[in-house]
This record gives sequence, C-alpha cells and structure tokens, in this order.
Amino acid sequence: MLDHNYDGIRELDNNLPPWWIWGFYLTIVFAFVYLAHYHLFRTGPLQTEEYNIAMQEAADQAKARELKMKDFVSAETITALNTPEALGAGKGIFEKNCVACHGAELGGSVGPNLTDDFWINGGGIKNIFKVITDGVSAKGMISWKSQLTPKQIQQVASFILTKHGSNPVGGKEPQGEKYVEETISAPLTDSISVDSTIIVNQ
Amino acid sequence: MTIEKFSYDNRIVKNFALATIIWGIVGMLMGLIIALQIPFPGLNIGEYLTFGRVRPVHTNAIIFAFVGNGIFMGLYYSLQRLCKARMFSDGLSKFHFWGWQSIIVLAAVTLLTGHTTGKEYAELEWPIDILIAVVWVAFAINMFGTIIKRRERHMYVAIWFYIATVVTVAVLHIVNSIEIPVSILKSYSAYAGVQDALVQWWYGHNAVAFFLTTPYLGLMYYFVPKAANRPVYSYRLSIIHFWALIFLYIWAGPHHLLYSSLPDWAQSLGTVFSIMLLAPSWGGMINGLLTLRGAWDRVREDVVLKFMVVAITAYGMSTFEGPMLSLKSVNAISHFTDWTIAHVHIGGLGWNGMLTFGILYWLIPRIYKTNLYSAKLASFHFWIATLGILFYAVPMYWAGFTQSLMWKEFTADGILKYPNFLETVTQLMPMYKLRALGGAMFLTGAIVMTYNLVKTMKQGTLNAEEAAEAPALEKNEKEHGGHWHRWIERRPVQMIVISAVVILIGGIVEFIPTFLVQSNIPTIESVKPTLHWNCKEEIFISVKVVTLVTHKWCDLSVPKLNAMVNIPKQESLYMIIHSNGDRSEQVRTYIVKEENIQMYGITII
Ligand code: HEC
Ligand code: HEM
Repeated sequence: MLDHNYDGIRELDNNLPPWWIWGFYLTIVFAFVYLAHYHLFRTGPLQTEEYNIAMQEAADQAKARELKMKDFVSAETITALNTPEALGAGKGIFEKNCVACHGAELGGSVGPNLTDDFWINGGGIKNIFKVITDGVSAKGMISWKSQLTPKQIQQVASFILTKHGSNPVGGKEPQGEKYVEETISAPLTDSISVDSTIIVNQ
Repeated sequence: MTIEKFSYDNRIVKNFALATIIWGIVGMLMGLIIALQIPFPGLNIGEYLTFGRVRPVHTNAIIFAFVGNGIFMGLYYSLQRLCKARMFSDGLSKFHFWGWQSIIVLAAVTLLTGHTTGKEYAELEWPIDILIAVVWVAFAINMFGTIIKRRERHMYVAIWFYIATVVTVAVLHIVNSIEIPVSILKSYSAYAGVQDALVQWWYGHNAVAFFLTTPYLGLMYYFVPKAANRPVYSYRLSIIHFWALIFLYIWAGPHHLLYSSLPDWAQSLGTVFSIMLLAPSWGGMINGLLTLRGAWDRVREDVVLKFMVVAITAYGMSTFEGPMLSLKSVNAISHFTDWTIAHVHIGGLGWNGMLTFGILYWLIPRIYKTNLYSAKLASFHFWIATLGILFYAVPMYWAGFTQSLMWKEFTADGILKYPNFLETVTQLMPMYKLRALGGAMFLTGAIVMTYNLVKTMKQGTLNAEEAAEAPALEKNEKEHGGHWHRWIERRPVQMIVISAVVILIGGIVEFIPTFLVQSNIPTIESVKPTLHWNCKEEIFISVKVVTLVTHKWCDLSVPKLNAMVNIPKQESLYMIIHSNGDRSEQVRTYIVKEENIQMYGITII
C-alpha cells in the first residue's frame, strides 16, 4: 500500500501482470513487422495491388466461364434475338432496371430516348450491347456487367430494338448522331469504354 | 498548519445529474425511434421525424448530452473532493451548465430542421461550434482553476485523465470545425477530399477516445474504489496505461478509412496504432476489475458494483474488438455493416451507459443524505439493461455477418447474387426487430431508474453545500522523493503542457504529409473534383430510401457531393446520393421519380 490517500482512496502498487507487459511488447513488435512487411520490404500487397489482383482473378474466371458457356455472347459476336421468350425476358429486365431513367415506353427522361434514330453512343445491337455492358459512368449510365449476364444484356438490347420507331408520347428530343443500319460494320466507338475503376497513382 | 473550512458545491452536481438522466431518456428514445423506423418505415412522420434527421439527433444526444452531462456530473463531484477544494468559480459552473444545455437544445432543433455539416459527430453548424468552444473554455478555466487552488499536493490519476480530456477535446473540436460560413446556418469545411476525411476521422475516432473513454476512465478511477471501498490495484499500471493510451489513441483515426483514397502509409499507421492500443486499454480494465479483488462477495449484493463490473467488462470487450476491426482483413468484412453498430453499442450501452447508471445510484443518495429508494428496482434495472445489451448486440453481429456475406456472394455466372441492395435489407428485418426490442429494454431500465432516483431525491434533502475542511497547502514545501512520476503529479501546468504535446504528435505526423504531398493521394481518373461553395441548391435526403439502403445516414449537401460525383438534375427526377456521412469512398446514386419523392420522404430545400 502506498501512502497515497485521495478522498479516502488508497493505492496499491502491484507489479504489472507479466502477460500484460509481454502482450504490450508483442503488439509493438507486430507494429514494426507490419510496417516493414508492407512499406519497407514491400512483401505485402497494398490496396491498389490487392485490387488489381482481385480484378485479374475475376477477369480470368470470366474468361474461363466464356469458354465453357455455349450461349456466350460478346460485343463482337452478338446478334439480335427475336424469339418471344427472349424478348419477354428482355422486357422484364428493362422494367426492373431501366425504367427509372429511360421511361416505361423508352421515351427517355434522365437517360436518352431509345426509340428514335439518334444514338449518342452509336446504334445497332453491337453498340447498344456495349453501352449496357460498360456504361457511360461519367454521364450517369452505369455499367450493368456486374448485375446482368451477357445473355441478359443481349435480351434487353434486343427488346430495345423492337421499340425502335414506336415514338412514345412525351418522348425526349433526339440526342446524338443519326444512326443508319448500313454502318453496322463500322468500328465500334470506343469513347464509351470509360472505366471509372482504374486507379492510378499520379 | 491552519485548517481551512470550505464547502463542496453539490447543487451543480445535482443539476448535471438531472441533465444526464433527462437527456439520457431523450437520447435513448430517439434511438428507439430510428430502430423502429427500419422495420416499420411508416414511422417516418413528416419531414422532421424522418430517419435521416433523427439519427444524428440520437448520436449527438447520447454522446454530448447523456455522456457529456455524465462526465460533468462525475467530474464536478470527484474533482472537488480530490482537490479538497470547491469549484473555482460558481459563476463559471453555472455558465458551463446552462451553456451546455442550450447547445444541446440548439443541436436538436437545427438537426431536426435539416441543418448539418454532414460530418459525423460534428454535424452542428458553425454558430453552435463557436458556442461549444466558448463553453468548453469556460469549463477548462473552471477546472484548471480548481486544480490550481487545490489543498491536496498531488493530483490523483482521475485528474490526469480529466486534464487530457479537456485539452484534447478542445484541440479536436477547433481543428475539425474550421469552416467557411456562407449563411447563418450553413458552412463548408475548410478541408476537402481525402484531407477532409483524415481530419474528420482523426476527430471522430478521438471523440470516442477522449469523450467516451478517457473521462470515463477518470470517473472509473474515482467511483469504483469509492463504491467498493478497496484500494486501486496498481499505481504504476495507471501511470503507464495513462501515458500510453493518450499517446497512441490519437494516431488511430485512419482505421475508419481503410481501403479508401487515404494513402496506404496512413492507413497502416491507423492499423498498427490500434493494435498497440490493446494493452493500454486493457490496463484500464485490469486496474478497474482488480480493484474489486476481495470485494467480489459485495459485487453479488451491491447493485452499484454490478453496474460497474459490467461496464468495465464491456470496455474490455470493445477495446479488444476495436483493434481487431482495425485489421484490414477484418475491416473488409465489418465495414459498412451492422457489425460496427454492434461494436459501438457494446461501448456505448455497456461501458458508458452502465458506468453512468452505477455512478448515479451511488451519488444521488449521497448528495441527498439518504438511502436509495428501492434496491429491488435498481436490481431490476441492472438485469433488464444487461439483457437489453445482449438483445441489441447479438442480432447486430448476426446482421453484420449476414450482410457482409450477401454483398460479396457471386453466382456461377460471376455476377452478384444479390445485386439489389434491398434484398440484403429485407433479409435482416427480424434482426432489426430484435434490436429494437433490446433498445426498448434498455430504455425501460432507464425509466425505472428515473423513477427510483426521483423517489430517492424526494425522501432526502439536497446537501447543496457540503461542509469540508482541510489544511492549506504549504508554500515552498520541500519535495520528498518517492516515485519519479510524483514530480508531475505536483505540477498541473507541466501536466497540461506535456499531455498536450503527447496528443499532438500523432496528428501532426499524419496530417502534414497528407496535406502537402500530392503524390500521396491515389486518384480515380474519371472523377474530377470541383468546388461549388456558392451552390444554391441542396437536396436533403432521408428515410425510406435510406431504410432500404442502410441506416447509416447523414444528410449531405450537394456541393460537397459535387466534388465526388457528377449529378445531373432533371425537372422531374432527382438523384439521391447515398453516402455514409462524410465517407467519400461510399457513394451510391439512386434516381427517384418526383411522384415517389413524397413516398420516400425526401425533402428538397
Ligand atoms: C441511372 C439512370 C439510368 C439507368 C438506371 C439506366 N440508364 Fe441507360 N442511360 C442513362 C444515361 C444518362 C444515358 C446517356 C449516356 C450518354 O450520354 O452517353 C444512358 C444511355 C443508354 C443507352 C445508349 C443510348 C444512346 O443514345 O447512346 C442505352 C442503350 C441504355 N442507356 C440502355 C439502358 C438499359 C438497358 C438499362 C437497364 C438495364 C439502362 N440503360 C439503365 C441513364 C440510365
Ligand atoms: C482500443 C479501442 C478501440 C478501437 C481500436 C476501436 C476501433 C474501431 C473501428 C476499427 C471501428 C470501425 C470503423 C469502420 O469500419 O467504420 C470503430 C467504430 C466505432 N467505435 Fe470503436 N474502437 C475502440 C473502442 C471503442 C469504445 C470504447 C467505444 C465507445 C464507447 C467505441 C465507439 C465506436 C463508435 C461510436 C464507432 C462508430 C463509428 C461509425 O459511426 O462508423 N469504440 N471502432
């Protein structure tokens, strides 16, 4: 017992419990090892690297799936579907995900009118597929590839094409370039491949 | 040696105690409302009682009103006795009391009417920030004045913690609140982007550390040995854990910003300093629990000690969990989930809540010179509060893990299994209901306590001026050796200066490079920050959408968000920006039709 007395409170001076001291030392050692591992020897992946590793893994897995999948479609191989099942599925997907921005009749609101001849990112099944897949994130059109399979994107893109020329009431004024079907073999516009997820260190 | 006669001011202690009780009930009620709004969105009534408005009222009321007044109650009681002196100035005590209560009222009114800076735990707008600074300085003068004119040569460990608290809170509040006013109730932070995030979480984490933790450790060091009538376990442990705790804590803020645009080195500092905090935190727990050695038989009977034991245990649990959450691999699971909410409430309900209750049950009968009205009711309170904590925490841990697993689950096609956030929310409804039940139990306990304490006050009379006497300190008394630390215990000015230096180091080391070195900050190519300090429009968002999304919500203003995302504005549609308060890394966008705005309870100002 120490000779301290504060308003009747006395103090003992027990030794620090050894497990406590050693625990404290251990955490200090941990701190140095951790910092050295990540920042001195750089043996551990920092977040950008971790991110890139994860993205690479996902890309590899996606590639492997493409090879396995019979009905896989890509921007190069896609064709418009016209079976009632496919178009019905496309309509369902549109109603669930796209109506908020493109309107129930595809006349456009936040997003552009999808029924006219004018396309900001190019018309035709290939361009439409590509926009839906990759999005135009800077303009508010998100990339749907993490939520819809290529097959589903093909279905919804095909559904959009069936509405061409439907001229819904209250549709938005045309935006973009007039698209003529003949140019279908033209190279895909690459302005749409804005990828907001690339992280660079300046 | 002349014996001086003086008196302790118990009236101010009583006032703070009443404020603690009243604001405690209000704060918990607000918590219960938001807990119920999640499973029952219909309870979002009108503009003012929507989730987005009430949540910050809850957090501010609990932290600054309930715990804040709790600190002042315990501090004004213990400081006078530890210093053998009356508070320095009755006028300052009164100013402190009424100033603090008016801040709370202003906070509630402005937050409910949608005025917020959007910085978590620092939501209050600039005029209130100034008022807080003024009242805090008055409190500091009152406290240091009391210490200076003390009649006890050495400062007891509780006072070291009080000093560190007063100094650090002042520094945190002033630095984080630097803002540019644009109108009487609107300002924009002087910091932007990642610098803002760093300052905000240096503040935010240390609000936890120096508002919810260090002052309560001070209270623990006074009230636990008093209530148990046992000596403190280890003086040397209190020295080392005090200095280690205040030095290490200040560095830990970046653990709130793991996997963000904060530079990696700063994130790593946040992690390792949090790990090193484990032992100093547990030092406090050990000193509290082992002080009860030899009094365990009394713990079984004495409800005050029961509350204290649960409080200290909860402190040990959250300070073990905290360092674990600071590991990136664990944080990747917990962040943005209800796990954090569970963690916070072990700390908040367990540590702060239970310790406050224990102190109230001990203190009120003493200043009213009577016995507790009903030990039975107090015991009921103890059990329902303990169960309430369990009913709160267990479902939230469960919800946290479930969310985390669902968010990251992919289908065989490599796309998200639950792309619609709502699915992960509806899944958790039973957990949210149980949590509300836990909260209701905790609140019930507090109401029973109020009744019990009011009855106690009625049966006694307030000993407003408690007579005391002590010899004056002799000037030029010769210093006799003893432990080296006794040197600083005799010198309050040095204590203030050295603890200020100790708490400044961490912040300075982290801030300067983050503010000065551009290459520190990873950037996202497509995101171009812009500044719109004169933007006329503000969209304040709340509720159902939020309920669907997450319950971590702060009102955010468009100008700040413009810096992060591009917001198209259309006549008939409004974009809802979802973000967790100030965390620039988590922004979700939603678009809602005008006709839904009413339904979603969105207010456009
Ligand atoms: C958040 C609002 C939003 C949602 C939801 C949305 N879009 Fe879009 N969409 C836009 C915007 C904005 C553009 C214009 C992009 C630009 O300016 O390049 C756009 C462009 C498009 C285009 C290209 C139009 C053109 O003229 O080039 C297509 C095709 C499209 N969206 C399809 C879809 C489909 C299919 C869905 C649902 C799976 C969907 N959108 C959901 C906002 C949205
Ligand atoms: C050594 C001690 C502690 C450490 C290292 C620590 C660490 C952490 C971490 C890593 C988070 C999660 C951050 C995130 O991912 O968003 C967190 C959140 C939080 N903790 Fe602790 N914690 C500690 C003790 C406490 C105590 C004792 C309390 C309460 C009295 C507390 C209250 C909170 C609060 C209020 C939050 C919520 C922040 C938010 O709103 O997201 N913590 N803490």
